[in-house]
Amino acid sequence: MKISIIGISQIIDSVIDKIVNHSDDINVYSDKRHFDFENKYHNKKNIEIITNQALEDNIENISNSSDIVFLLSESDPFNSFSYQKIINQEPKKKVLMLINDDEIYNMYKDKDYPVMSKLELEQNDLSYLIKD
Amino acid sequence: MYIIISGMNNITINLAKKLISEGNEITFVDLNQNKSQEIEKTIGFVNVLGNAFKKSTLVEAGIERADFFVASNLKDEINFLSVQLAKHLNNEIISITLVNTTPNKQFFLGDEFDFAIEYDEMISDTLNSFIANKFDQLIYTNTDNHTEIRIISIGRDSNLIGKTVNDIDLPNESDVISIISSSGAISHNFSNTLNPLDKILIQSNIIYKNNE
Repeated sequence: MKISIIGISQIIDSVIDKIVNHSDDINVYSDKRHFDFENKYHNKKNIEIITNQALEDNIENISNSSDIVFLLSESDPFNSFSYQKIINQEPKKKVLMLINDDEIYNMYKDKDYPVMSKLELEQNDLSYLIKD
Repeated sequence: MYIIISGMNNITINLAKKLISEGNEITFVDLNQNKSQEIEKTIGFVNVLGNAFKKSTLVEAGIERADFFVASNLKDEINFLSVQLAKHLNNEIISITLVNTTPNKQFFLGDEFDFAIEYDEMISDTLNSFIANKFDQLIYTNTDNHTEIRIISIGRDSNLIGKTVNDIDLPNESDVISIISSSGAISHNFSNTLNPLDKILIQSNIIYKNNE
């Protein structure tokens, strides 16, 4: 199973902990270098960190080559727009997006979008996504 | 009409001047404090400082009573989310969204996006025509007898042109009060055919939203 994580935020360590044993291949995409993060995971064979300055133009390509996509940037507009790009192309793609703003989170929950807050992500084992 | 514009630039500032001169009310939402202060000195309309994709900013700007939301930031993702939020907070608002990058236009096709226009279409006249052609405008609500007064505007390209008020579908249990021509002449002859820029003044029962 190939998992892509787009964006690096505070929650990413917690997410990786939950999925690392269920995936042969985890790619983490960011538009800038995060040296602490890179140092922490450079020994993990199944985790590759990819810096792509034109990340927003490559969302569909990343999604195409992934079984599951996590949208974990700190930016709600980026995560929500990236979600729309993915779903437009692959309506059944397994995606989970982080939304920080309570009102936007509730708006998407009402629409049954696959959305999680930081607190939820910390408490959820994500098994419904990765073991399906 | 009340119009909220997210994003200050030359086009939206010209649009605002034009709309104000036509009697509309404008509020800008933008993060740029210097530009806000400068514009407020020259034009005098209200600015709200903040992100257009934050509820607190849109509520402060009066999103719940606004007729239009113009999302004209230079980042598509901000326009995308701010329009979704604006519609969530006021499902009757009409949205006009700037699409900065042509391939992104395909993502602005949902119900929230009434008009999605590309940057080269984003000229003041285009935006003004969307707003001038607004079909239905609430002008007075009487909560005692649950009625409201509305104006139905006939746009330049309206399919109502050439019909009479008896030929068109008005809201349930509406009474036509008068027809106002573009020159301001008031007519009570409802067998006359409608012309571009005519306005139909009606009284109808209040249509309550689901959450009211």
